[in-house]
Amino acid sequence: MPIEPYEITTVYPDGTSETRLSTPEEIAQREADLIQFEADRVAREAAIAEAEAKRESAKAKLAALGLDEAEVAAILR
Amino acid sequence: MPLNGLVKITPTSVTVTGTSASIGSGGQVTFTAMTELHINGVFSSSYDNYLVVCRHANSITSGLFGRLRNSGTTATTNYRTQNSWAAATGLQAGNTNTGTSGTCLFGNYNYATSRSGFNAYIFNPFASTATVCRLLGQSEASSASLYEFSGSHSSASSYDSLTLITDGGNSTGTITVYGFNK
Repeated sequence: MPIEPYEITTVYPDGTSETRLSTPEEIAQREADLIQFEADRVAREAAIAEAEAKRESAKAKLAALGLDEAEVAAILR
Repeated sequence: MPLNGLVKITPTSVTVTGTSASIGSGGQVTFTAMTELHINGVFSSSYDNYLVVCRHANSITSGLFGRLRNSGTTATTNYRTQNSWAAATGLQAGNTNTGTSGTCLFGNYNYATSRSGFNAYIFNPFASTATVCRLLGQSEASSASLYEFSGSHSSASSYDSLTLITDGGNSTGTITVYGFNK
């Protein structure tokens, strides 16, 4: 969904400020950022889920070999 | 000017997208519900290396990221980072920004409305060489969490400013930039 122009305010150390509307370039960059951040978030969560699945798979295989829960936990710590 | 130690730097201005930002008399920047914040004029030839100290709370579970900026233009590409984090059930690691396609120099994640903070050492941002950064951060969820980032920017450009940007929601907190005396 396109982003509508938004206000950007510059504040100086003496407390004075000025406000303007975002430029088309700033809006385009924000839209690109949001797309990239969402892609990064999806990739990050997928990596975490994959690692957790591998961990659970490894635990099950170690248990099948006869290791008890404490021994599995010690190996995977 | 003191001969040794860290020197707090007052930005020449801050530019905020969001509710508000202000510069305290000592140079600390306070921001409220911002999605992007430019901290202008903090890097100069007076110092080579800098310490950035930030406390923040995001409105949703999201990240707060840092970028380099110069003369009103923020560098949005050519970053590379390695990161690891320990939260809840274990340790994770990533290098999602390999190559030169990364979009941020550093980042810190935040569990919604919890207390988060980070310190970031930024080396040689003003010099026309590659800039590198080391960040240690935390966010308090149901248990403490730890974030570590190592970032670099491959462009041999000079930067005088720093940008903070959220990847979701908005962020409220304070940030202070210190220069290491040469």
